[in-house]
Amino acid sequence: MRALIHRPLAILAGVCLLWGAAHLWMGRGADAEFEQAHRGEVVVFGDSHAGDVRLPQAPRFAFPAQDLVSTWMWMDAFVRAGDADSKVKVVVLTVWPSKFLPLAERRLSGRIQEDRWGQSVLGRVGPVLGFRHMVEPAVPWRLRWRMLLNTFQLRSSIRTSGWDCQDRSIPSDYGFKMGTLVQEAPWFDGAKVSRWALGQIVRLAESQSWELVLLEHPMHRSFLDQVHPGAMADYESALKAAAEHPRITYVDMARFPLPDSGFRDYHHLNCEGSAAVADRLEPLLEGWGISP
Amino acid sequence: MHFITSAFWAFLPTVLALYWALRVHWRWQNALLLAASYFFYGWWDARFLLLIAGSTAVDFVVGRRLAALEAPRSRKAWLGVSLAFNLGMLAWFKYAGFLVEQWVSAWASVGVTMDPMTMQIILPVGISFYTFQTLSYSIDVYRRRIEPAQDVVAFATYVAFFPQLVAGPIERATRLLPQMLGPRSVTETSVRSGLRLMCWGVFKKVVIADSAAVYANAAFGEAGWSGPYMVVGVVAFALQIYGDFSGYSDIAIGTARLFGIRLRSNFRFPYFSRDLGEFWRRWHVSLNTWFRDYLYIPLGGSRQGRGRAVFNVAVVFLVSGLWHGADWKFVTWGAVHAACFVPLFLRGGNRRPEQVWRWSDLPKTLWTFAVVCFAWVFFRADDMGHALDVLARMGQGWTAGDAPDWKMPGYEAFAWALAAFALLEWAQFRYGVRWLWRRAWRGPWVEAVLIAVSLFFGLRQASQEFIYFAF
Repeated sequence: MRALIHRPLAILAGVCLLWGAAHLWMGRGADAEFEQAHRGEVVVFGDSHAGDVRLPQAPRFAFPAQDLVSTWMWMDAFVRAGDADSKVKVVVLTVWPSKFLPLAERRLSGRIQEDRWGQSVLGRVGPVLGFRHMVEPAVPWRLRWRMLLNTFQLRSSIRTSGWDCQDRSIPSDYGFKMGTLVQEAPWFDGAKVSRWALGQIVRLAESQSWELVLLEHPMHRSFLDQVHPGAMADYESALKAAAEHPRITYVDMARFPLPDSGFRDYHHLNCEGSAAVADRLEPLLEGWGISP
Repeated sequence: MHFITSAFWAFLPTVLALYWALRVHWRWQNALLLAASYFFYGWWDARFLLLIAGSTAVDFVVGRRLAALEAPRSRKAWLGVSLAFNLGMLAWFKYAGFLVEQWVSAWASVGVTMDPMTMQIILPVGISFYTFQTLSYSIDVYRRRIEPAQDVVAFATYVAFFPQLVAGPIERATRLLPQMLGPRSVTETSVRSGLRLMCWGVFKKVVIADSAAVYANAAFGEAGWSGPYMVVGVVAFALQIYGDFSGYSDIAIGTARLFGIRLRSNFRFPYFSRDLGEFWRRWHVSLNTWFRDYLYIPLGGSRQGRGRAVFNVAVVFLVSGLWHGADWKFVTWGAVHAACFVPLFLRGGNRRPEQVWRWSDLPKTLWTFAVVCFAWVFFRADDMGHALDVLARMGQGWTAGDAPDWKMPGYEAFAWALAAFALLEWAQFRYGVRWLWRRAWRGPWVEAVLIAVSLFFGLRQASQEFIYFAF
C-alpha cells in the first residue's frame, strides 16, 4: 500500500521537474522577444484588434480573444525584461467592451470553454507566469491553476510583427445577434476580474512613465444598437476615468461613423477601417515625436 | 464522469485513500467500491442506476435459484428470466427505435404509410457491457461452472466495478467474482504496473486518438477529402478507435490494479495481425471470447459440419455488429468481417498457433490492416449512404488536383508522437510488454514523460468523448 503514495508522488515530482524545465525554456524565449521589443519606441498589446492597427514597425503582443489578465501578465513580463536602455515611449492597448462581457469574465474564472480561444491564450501566458502572478488574490484559483498547467502547451512565440490588411467587407444587410446577457444585463458591474486587470495595466503604465493609448476601434451599429446602454456607459466612464492620468490617452472611436465598407465583421476592420483608425492614432504619435 | 476529466482525478485518490483505510476489512472495501461505482455512474445520469441495480438483483436471485434447483425445466425457466430481463432491457433501450423504424419503412415500401409514435429513448451508458457481464454470470451458474454468489454486496460490486463498468473489459464471473470474495493485496508491483498502464492509456487516448480524430473527422465530415487524403482519413480513424478504446481499457485495467484487482487484457496489438483470425484474437478480446463462449459454441460451433460452422461464424459477426449499435452500417461492418474471415476459417487458418512475427510477414500484416480499415469505413460513417460515398471518394482524386488543407494545427508534433507510439507498440509486441515496461524502463520518469506529453496535446486540442461510450 505504501507504493500507492510513493510512486504517484515520484511521478508527480517528475512532472513538476519537466514543467519547471519547460517553463524556464519557454520563459527565456519570451524574455528574448520582450527584450527585442524594448529596442523600439512603440509596442502594441491587446487582442485580435491589434492586428488592425496600422503600425508595421511596432511589435505586437496580442492574440485573438486575449483577456486583460493575460495582457497584464505580458506587460508585467515586458517591463521586467527591459532595462535602462529601453527605448519604449508609447504602449498601445486595444480595448473594447467584449473584454468585460460575461463571456470574457467566464473565461477568467478558469472554466474550459468550447471555443478553445481562451485555452490558446493560456498557452501563451504560461511561459511568463511568475510566482507574483500565482499569489495575486484577485486572480481566481481555477484560472491560476490552468495558467500553471498550460505551460505544457509550449507555445513558442507570442510576438507578431509586420502589418497587413484585408479588403473584404461586410454586406450592406449585415446583422449580428448578440446574446441576451449582453443586451439585457448590466454586464460591466459583473466584470470584476477584467476591471481589476485594467487597473493593473494602468498602474503598470504609470510606473513606467509610458504614454499609454487605450485604443478603441469603431464598432458596427449592429453591436451598438444591441448592447446594454447602461453597461456601455459605465464601461466608457471607466476608460475615461483611467484617461484622467496625464500619460493615458483614451482614443474613443466606438461610435466613429465608419461606413459598412470599413468593417470585416461587427468589430474587425478592413483596410479602409484601419486607415480611419490610423488617421486618429498617427497625429498622437507624431505629437510624442514618433514617426509611425 | 470519464477518465480524462479533473473530476475523475479527484475521485480516484479519494476512493483509494478510503480503500486503503479499510484495508483490513475487505467486505467494507466492497461496500466502498460499490458506493464509489454507483457514484461514478450516477455522475452521468443517476436514473439509470436503477437499471444496474435491477440487473444485479435479478441475476443474484436467478443465480441462487439455479444452484438450488435440480429439475432441468425449472432451471431453464430461471435462466430464461435472466435472459429475458437483460436482453429485454438491452433490446428496449438499444434497438426499439431501430425496429420501429424498420417496421415503418417496410410498410412504406409497399405503399402503406404509418405514423409511428416518436421514440426518444436515451441509451444508458455502458448497458451493452454490464448486461453481458451479468448474463455470463447466470449462464455460468446454469452450466455449473461457478457457485452462485452468496454475498450480495460482492456480487453488486462485480457487476458495477467502476473502472470497467461503462466500456469494459467485459469480465467473467469466474475471474472477477472470486476477487470480490476475499481480501485483495495491493503490492508494489501492482501499483507500478497499474500506474504505468494508466499513463500509457491516457497517452493513447489524448495524444493518439484525439489527434487522429481531427483528421478522421475532417475526412468523414464536410471537408470532402478524396483519393489519398480520404485513405489517410480512414487510417486516422483506425488509429483513433484503437487509441481510444485500447486506451480506455488500459486505464481501466491500470485503475483496477491500484485496488489489487486484476482485469483481463482487452487488446493485444491487433494491427500487427497477419490475418483476420489473429486480428480477432487481439481486438476487443473480452467481447469476442464472450461471443465465442456464449453464442458460437451454444450454436454448435464447428462440431456440426462445415456448413453449419460457417453459418455460426456469420451469426457471431452479424450479432457482434449489431451489438455495437442498431444500424445497418454496423451489421455491414460485421458482414464484411464475416465475408473476409470465412475463407480463412474454411482453410483452418484461424486455428494455426501463433508464431513469432517476422519481417517476411509484413505484406500479410499490411493486407490485414487494409481489410480492417475498409471495414472501419462502415463503422465510422454516419449511415450506409455515407459509407458508400466515402468508399467512392477513396477511389477518386488520385491524379492531379487541388490538395485539401490537410495540415492541421500541430501536425508536426502529432507525426513525432505517432512515430514514437508505433515504435513503442512494436517493441511491446515484438519483445513483450514486461520486457519494455518492467525491465527496460522501470523508473517513474516514463510515466512523468507520458503525462507531460499528454498534457501538451490535451491542452492544445479539443478532447473527444470515448467512442465506446456510445455502445
